[in-house]
Order: sequence, then C-alpha cells, then structure tokens
Amino acid sequence: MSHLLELLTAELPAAQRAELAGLSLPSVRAEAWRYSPLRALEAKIRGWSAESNGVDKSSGLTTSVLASALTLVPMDLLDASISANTPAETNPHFLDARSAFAKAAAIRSSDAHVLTSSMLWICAPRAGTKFVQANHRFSVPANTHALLVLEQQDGGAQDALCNLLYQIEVAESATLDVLHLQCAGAGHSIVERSEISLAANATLNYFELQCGLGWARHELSIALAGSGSSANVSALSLLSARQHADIQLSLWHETKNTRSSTRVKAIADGRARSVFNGKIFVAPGADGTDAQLKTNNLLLSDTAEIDAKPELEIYAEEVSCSHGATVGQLDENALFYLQSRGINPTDARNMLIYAFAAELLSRISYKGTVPALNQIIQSRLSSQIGEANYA
Amino acid sequence: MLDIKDLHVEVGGRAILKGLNLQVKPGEVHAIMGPNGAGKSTLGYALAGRDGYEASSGTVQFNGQDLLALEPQARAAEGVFLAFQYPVEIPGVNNTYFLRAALNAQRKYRGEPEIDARDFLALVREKLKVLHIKDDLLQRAVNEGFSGGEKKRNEIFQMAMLEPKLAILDETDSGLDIDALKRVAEGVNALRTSERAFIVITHYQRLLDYIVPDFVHVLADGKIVQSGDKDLALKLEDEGYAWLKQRKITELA
Repeated sequence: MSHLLELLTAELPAAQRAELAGLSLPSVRAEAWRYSPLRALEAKIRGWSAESNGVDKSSGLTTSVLASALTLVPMDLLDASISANTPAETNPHFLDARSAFAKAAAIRSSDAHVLTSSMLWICAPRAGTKFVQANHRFSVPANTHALLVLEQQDGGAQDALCNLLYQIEVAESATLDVLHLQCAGAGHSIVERSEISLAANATLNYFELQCGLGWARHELSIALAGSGSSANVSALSLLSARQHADIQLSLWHETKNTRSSTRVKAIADGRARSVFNGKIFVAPGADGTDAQLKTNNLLLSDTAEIDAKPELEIYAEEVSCSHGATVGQLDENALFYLQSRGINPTDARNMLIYAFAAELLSRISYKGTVPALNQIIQSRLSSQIGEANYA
Repeated sequence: MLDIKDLHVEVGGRAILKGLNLQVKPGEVHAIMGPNGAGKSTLGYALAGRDGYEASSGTVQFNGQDLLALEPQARAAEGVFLAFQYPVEIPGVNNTYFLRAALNAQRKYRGEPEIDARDFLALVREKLKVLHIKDDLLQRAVNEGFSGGEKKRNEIFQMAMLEPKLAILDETDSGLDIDALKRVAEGVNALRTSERAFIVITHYQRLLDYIVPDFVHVLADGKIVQSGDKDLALKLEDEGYAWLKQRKITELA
C-alpha cells in the first residue's frame, strides 16, 4: 500500500478501513489525473508518521484575509447553526467521480452547517500537524441568501497536506455566494473536492482564487439539479516558482432550463503548472440549458506550463452551449499601445498582467469584497509574478 | 520641428519606405494621402517607434533630437503622439487609471512633478468639456467594447490629455460614419494651436473637408511623389490614385 493511502486511512476505525480496502490512488493513466501525478505528494509525505496527524486538526483561526471588507461569523463559534437533518441522498454523479481521497474523507461523519448569512470557514493546520482530513457539509435553506468564505490558511504548520471534502446543498430559490481563497504558503498541499447541489431556482455565485499553495488539486462538481437553477463560476490561479494547481470542474445540467456561466483564468510564471478541465454535461431531456464556459490563460515564462481543456457532453436537443480555451502570452499590440502613451515596458507589462487577472473581479457578486480581493491579487503579483506593482 | 531625411524602413524584410523626406513646422497640418500599401501606416509606426518598424537608413530629427534613437515611451514624453488606426482594447485597465499613469510617466520623464488625483480630475473635466465627450467613457476599460467612433474619440481625448507637440493621426477617419467623422474632426480642430503640429494620414479626401490641411503630400511606393496645398486632395478625389501611375509613365518617357 502506498504511504499516501496509509495516511488517508490511518485514523479510521478498523471497520471503515475495511470499507476502503481495495482502494487505489488515481494514476496518471486516468484522464482526470493525467497532469497531476501524485509523485510530488508521495515524496512530500515520506517519513510522516500517522500518529501526529488526523481529523480536523484545524487551528481554530477566526480572522479572514477579507476581514477589512466583511464581517464574517466564524463557523466554529456557531453551534446553533448545526442541523441535525440527515443529508439528502448524494448525487450519483458525485459518487461516481470520487477518488480514493474523497472516499477516505467522506467516511468522516459530519454535521451540516446551516448557512443563513455571511460565514467563514478556515482550514488551517495546527502547529505540529502535518495532515488534516475532513468532510464538511453546508446547507442553505430555501429562499435564503448566504455568503460562505472558505479559506485555506497557514495556521501553525509550515508544511502540511489537507484532504478535504465539502458537500453543499442549496435549497429552492436560495442564493449562495462562495469565495474560496487558497492562500496558504508554498509548503502546503491540498486535495480537495467540492460537491454542490442546486435545487429549483437556486443560484450559486462561486469565486475561487488559487495563489499560495505549493500543490493544489480541486475537483469542483456542481449539479444543477432543479429547474431554473443557475451557477456563475469564476476561478483565478496566480502561479509562480514550482507551484502546481489543478482545477477539475464538472457542471451537471440535469433538468430543464438550467444555466451556467464559467470563466477560468490562470497566469503561470517560473516553472509553474496550471491544469484546468471544465466539463459541461447536459442530461437527456435537459432542454433549455444555457451553458457557457471560457478559459483564458497567460504564460509568462518558457518553462511554465498550462494544460487547459473544455469539454461538452450533450444529450438534449434544445440547448445553447459554448466553450473555448486560449493560452497565450502578453499582447504585443497592447504593449506597444501603452508604450506609445509614455509608459515604460516594465510598467506596461505589469499593467497588462494585472488587468488580465483583475478582469475576473467584475464577476464577483459580493461587491464589498472586491477591494480586499484586489489587494490580495496585487500583492501576489508584485511579490512573485512578473514583478507587477500596482497602486 | 520634424525633419525626416531619406527615410528607409523595411518591415518583415520588405522595403516599405524608400527614401521619404518631410519637414513639419510648429502649428502646421500636413496631410499624407496615398493608395493602400503605399506605406502610410508604416510612417506612423516608424515615428512612434514600433518594434519591427526600425529605419534601415535615413534620419529623423525632432526638435533637434535624433528621434530614431529613442524608445517609444521616450518619444511620447518628448511630445510625439500616434492616434492608432485600430486602437487596442485593453480589458481590465480602467481608462482614467491608464491616462493618469501615462501622463505621470511622461511628466516623470521630463522631470516634472506627478499630477495628483484632484488636479488630474480637474484636467479631465476641462478636456471633456472642450471635446464634448461624455464622462462614462472614463469609467470603462480602455477601448473595451467601444464602438468605432468611441475608439477614435478616445484617441483624440488621450491626445488632449497628453498635449503632444506632434500628433500623427493614422486613418482616424476609417470606419466612421459622417456624423462620427465630424465629431472627431471637431475634436482635432479644438486642439490645433500655433505650436502643435499634425500629420494626418488618410486614404480619403473627405476628412480634409473638416480638418483643413496646410499641406497635402501624396505617398506612393514608399516616397512622397507630390506635394501641394489642399487643392491637391481635391484633385486626388476627382481622379483617384490612378493618375499617379500615369504621371510616372510620363516621367519615364
């Protein structure tokens, strides 16, 4: 058994370990893992003992990186928000796509947190903790509008691996805004799976910022299960050095008149690698589906790599779907235009890099968070990528 | 102010300008006309300093300086402005932010203090008023989603803000309907002064009804083949560029 698999199952009771017997870690032969070989993680955890690790050893941090912009209630302090309801049956698409990581995390029992306003969930490994594995469930009641801020922070650990499963249910006519910020340091790795299910007329506005982690894999699976449901998904990866970020998005249009709009951008400098796979699936009979997906990527060095793939799988007749992917360098025309107005080449370059990233901010539904997010992006760009510097 | 002598420019290994001569004095408006492929846009790019449009021989003096030795941003700061035929869309860069960055970069180059936000806005309002431009243009990203007319007017607005000594308008009339053309021309006329010179590059005489030039030059096959006053433009309008070929044949004979 691989050491990584041992780590995933170490703290489970014997009966549950047996359930996972026969599991194997995904290999690069599987299309969805092709560009994210687990070698790097295996090498990282060599020598970690299972004892010092385990479930939910989060630091209990309660300060968001967006604290200047938002008043958030840290979830840990909100016992009243826990619902005793049993979860709805997990979507079969979700179950089919779970890897050994998600299966191991799913075995952890979890209460559903009821989201009714602005809430914060921070995953930050405690000092001395190297491995965190958790399953978190959230639900948004019908006709409610909630904001969930999910943050990955350093906590006390310099060097850690988190294996997380998020299960989120948005009930009829509810709206959920998610801001997912991956801002832990380069010593941190994460394997994460988010399963979000939308009931009739529910809306999801999702924004993800990948900027700090050394190695990150996120499977974001969204089921538009109720008619009239809609999802706006935006993700931005700002990568440098040897960072690796892999986003696997699946949008399941399962019934009539559902809508999704997706914009994903990555900037890769140094020897970084960005992977994106965006799959739109339209089920038989899901007429009236409107699904648009676009990924645009910027390569800033000869040694960076971007692997981007949009996919459509359509089994219905009356649909409007589009997808597109671009990978390119900075536009020479635009650079000259800025220079011809008096701006020096370094500033012109930085301006274009920043603009490429910041364009996605216009898609954020929670406008009050935009300045704080803007600042995070600026400082990330000015510290490590393309030497951008913005006031 | 501007003295171009025997300018040769190759683009992608092909000779485009083949010995161009032109003198421009402060306050003058020179129209450059000519058929497609004559090298009109190349002249604009070569003067503004675009990569790939370097001179293979010849000289360009601008207010006593060797213009060709300067980087594009230095040429801008020295007072050369190129209004693009196809203004570039820059999503995500706010028009106001861009203009202030450009203006301050030029001021810094010239050793002048940077303009603060309040003075900058006052300047913006003053220029908008002169050009009759609505200020919603300022809140948008540079040229993004602008109509053809809006893009060209934004070029003129940038020119007004940056106050160049020499403005080169590269086919500013292309793609404009007659109303948009008039508005752009009014903007240019409002910026004419006894110090500021213009080179107006155009394919059609129509623009010159509204921006009346002091001199008209015909550029063909990389050289200025004829110069005159505004009546030359009218002659071109009547007879097309075909008479140029006719004229060459006569010269050879």
